[in-house]
Formats: sequence, structure tokens, C-alpha cells
Amino acid sequence: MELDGLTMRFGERTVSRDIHLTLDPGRVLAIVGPSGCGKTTLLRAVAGLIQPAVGTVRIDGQAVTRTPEGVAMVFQHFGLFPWKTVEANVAYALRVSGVPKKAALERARELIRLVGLVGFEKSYPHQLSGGMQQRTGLARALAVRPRLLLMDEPFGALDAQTREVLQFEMLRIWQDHPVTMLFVTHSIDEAVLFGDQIAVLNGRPSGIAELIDVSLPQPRDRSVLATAEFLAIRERVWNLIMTGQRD
Amino acid sequence: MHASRPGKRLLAAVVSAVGLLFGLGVWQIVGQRDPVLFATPGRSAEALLVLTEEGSLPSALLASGTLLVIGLILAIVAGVGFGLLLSRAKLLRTSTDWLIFAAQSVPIVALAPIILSAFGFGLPAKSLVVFLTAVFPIVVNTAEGAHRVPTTLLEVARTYRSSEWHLWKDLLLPHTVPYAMTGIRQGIAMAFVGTLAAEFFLNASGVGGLLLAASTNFDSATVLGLTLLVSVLAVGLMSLGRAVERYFARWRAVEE
Ligand SMILES: Nc1ncnc2c1ncn2[C@@H]1O[C@H](COP(=O)(O)OP(=O)(O)O)[C@@H](O)[C@H]1O
Ligand SMILES: [Mg+2]
Repeated sequence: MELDGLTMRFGERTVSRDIHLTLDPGRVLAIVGPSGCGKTTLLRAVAGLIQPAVGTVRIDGQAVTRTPEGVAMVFQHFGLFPWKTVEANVAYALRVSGVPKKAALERARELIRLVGLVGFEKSYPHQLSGGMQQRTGLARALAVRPRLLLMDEPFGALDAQTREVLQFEMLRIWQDHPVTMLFVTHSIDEAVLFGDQIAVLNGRPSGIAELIDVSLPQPRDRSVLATAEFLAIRERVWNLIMTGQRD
Repeated sequence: MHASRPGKRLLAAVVSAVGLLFGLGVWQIVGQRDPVLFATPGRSAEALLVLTEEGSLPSALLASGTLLVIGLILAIVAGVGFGLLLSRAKLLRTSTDWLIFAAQSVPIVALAPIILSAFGFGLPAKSLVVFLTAVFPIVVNTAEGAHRVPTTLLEVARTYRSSEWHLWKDLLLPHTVPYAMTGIRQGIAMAFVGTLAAEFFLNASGVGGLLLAASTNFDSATVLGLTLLVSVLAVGLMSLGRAVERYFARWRAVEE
């Protein structure tokens, strides 16, 4: 995936300008920045939901005009269909791409097991906690075996504890099913925890303040939180964001 | 939350029963004081029985029922269809919005004589009156619902490259049906009014005709009996609508 000089505008207002980023297969790029700096907007452009004012999004060399096949997105507010059960929500991803019902449900059950929702297949979203709803959202996105997974603050709408549980569970899932991932978050910890590389967004309109390589070994787990490198990178990102806030 | 629901229902049933008994009691007392204007419940029931025996009530119910069902079905089909169309065609919506609201604020019942004389007083013309009284709440509610499809869900559909067919099946229809059902329930109530109004004019027919005849004869027993009968039928049909609405909205969080 490649963002080539992206400038995002809403009417007269420029949200972000001149964003250049590359994400190589199998890697995780974290984008971190304060709320309202244009992270979701950027991700929506990558998904082909909106078009940039300037610049091009390319995925596997192809300019994106609509969501390419094999690109899946996990939404901050889950984006589940309230009238569908958990398994129907997960199967939806496959049903719309023409997979027969039986095969789709089978694969859905597989993913429901993967995200730890066995026993809730027939529940409706409103009967589930936020954490369980996002597990469903994750299962749906993974169901299509995406070659690029777009994460829009996937744990941002959850309480602190659930958030932590899901972060580490996501790391575990990612180890078993590695997928190229663009991970957007406003949590610095989360960015360092997931990213092979971190793009720090700041300023108004926002731009990339710095690209930081994270050499913490993958697979990661809770223990990296206490390493010197984790703390050092975290500090650096924090300083970059704070500099952006001041101007 | 769930445990208290049967309790609440029982309470609601008791309150309605008490209200009904109280109403009947008042009616009986007033009826005994002023037998000409207000026949007693007993005499009203008797009047209905007589009408049933001589066959005019069953045939009137059949005639009115036919009229109501034809008008209502047309209103549902056209109302839901047009409402959905409005949601997907912005130009159509902005250009017809004012028309719908204007039409909705006109009492169609008052126009019934004009419509009937223009279209010939037969079943088609009468059905048209019922249709027109019932269709607007259905269009408005359906369009409102379809218009409020959450944008996030539309984006979800787009990221999964949903076809137009899947968009309707998985998103637009399931989201809109509960709204349409609300409109249909209002439409049912309106259709009752429309049916009676359509039957009142020139060649009076059906239950409306019976009501009109009884009322010109100062036969208060029949008028009150028929009125009550119509109300009971309307309430029954609307509860049916409510049940269907609940069924289609069963995925919603428990609402009170
Ligand atoms: N559809 C839109 N129309 C106009 N402005 C928008 C729209 N979506 C987002 N914005 C504005 O763009 C800015 C960036 O929004 P967003 O990308 O959601 O930020 P983030 O995801 O980083 O919190 C915000 O100031 C927001 O108000
Ligand atoms: Mg956002």
C-alpha cells in the first residue's frame, strides 16, 4: 500500500496535507495522532470511501477508487448490523462476495471460535458488551482473509480494561494469522505495541511529523510494555505529539 | 427488566378493563336518564343483534371490509414503494417533499365528496378515498426511516463491495421495515376513517351507510353499537399491526 502525496479536504478546510506513506506486505504500520487530526479521514481514503483532494492511494500498484477486493476495515464503533446475529454479521462479509450460505456460516463459526465468542452465535449486537461487539467486527473483517486490514481505533470505544484485554488478544490472533495492517489509533501505547513502524501525525492541517521504526521483536506480548525500548519510543512519540499541539 | 414485563402487561390489562367497565357504567346511567340521545349498552347490543339476524350487518361488514382492505393494500404497496424510492433518489425527494407534507395536512376526508363525484361513486372511487387517507403516513414514515440509514453501515456495505441487491436486502429493507410498520399502523387508523367517509356520500353503503341511516332515524342504539363495533375492529387491526411491527423490530434493544 502506498499513499502518494495525499491531501484531504472537506470543502475549504484542509484536514491533512502531503501525506506520503508506504506499507509493505506482512508489516504493521501504526498511525498515531490526537483526536480530530484526520486519521479516520485518511483511512477512509485508503478504503476508497472518499477521494483525496490531491494525491493517490495505491494498493498493489493499483490506484484506489473503491474498496479493492481483499481490503477489510474494522470500525471504531463496530459497524455491526443490529438486525443480524453475531454469526450472520460475520457471514455477511462472505455472503456479499457470493459465498454460499452454508460455507459462509461454517467459516463464520471458525472465526467466532478464533475471537472467543463461542456460545454467542445467535445473539444480537445489542445483547453484547462493547468488547464482544468489536470481537464480532474483527471476526467479520478477518473472515475474508484480507491482504490488508484497516483498523480505525478498533479499541477506542471500549473501557480501559476491555481495551487492554482485546489488545493482547489481537496480538495473539495476529501472530497466528499475520496480516498486513494499517492500524490507526490515538493511543501511543497501542501504536508502539502493534506497529513495526509508527507514523506520527500532528499539526493543523496535519502532516507526518516523523516515521519511527519499532525494532521490538514480533511476536509481542505484555512483557514488551516494560522494556526500555518501548518506553523510549513512547516518550519520543509523546513529545512529537505535544510539539504539534503547541503550534 | 424482562421479569417485570408480564407484570406490567397485566397491570395495563387491568387498567383497561377497569376503564372499560367504568365507561359502560357511565353509558348505562346516562342512557337511562336520556334514552333518546343515548341508548343503553344493552339496547345497543340488541340493535346489533337484530341487524345481524336480518343480514344487513354481515353484508355491510363485508362491503366495508373489502373497501378497507383494497384501499389499505394499495396504500401500503404504493406508500412503502414510494417511500423507499424517495430514500434512494435525492432529486425526487427534494422535489416532492413539500408536496407530501402539503398533501398530508389536507384533510382528505373533506375532499371525499369531490373525489367520489369525479371518479363515479363506485368501488374504485371509494377505494381511492381510502387509499388517499391511508397512504401519506405510510410514505412519510417509510421515507423518514430509509433516509436515516446510518452512514457507518452504508460504509460497511461499501467496504465489503456490496451489490445494490445486497444493499437492499442486508441494510435498507431491514432498517426501514420497522419505520414502515409504524406508518402502516397510522395508515390503518386513517383507513377506517376513510372507509366510513367514503361510504357516507350519495350511494351510502357498508357500515358507513348503516350508520348514516340509523343516525338520520335518531336510532341512537344502532349508532352507538356500530361505532363501538368499528372501534373494536380498528383496535384489533392496529394491535395486529403492532405485533407485526414488534416482530420486525425484534433486534432492537428493549424499548418502552
Ligand atoms: N464528512 C465530513 N465533513 C466535514 N468535515 C469532516 C467530515 N469528517 C470529518 N471531518 C472533520 O475532519 C477532521 C478530522 O476528522 P477525523 O478524520 O474523524 O479525525 P480522527 O479520526 O483523527 O479523530 C475533524 O475536524 C472533523 O470535524
Ligand atoms: Mg477517528
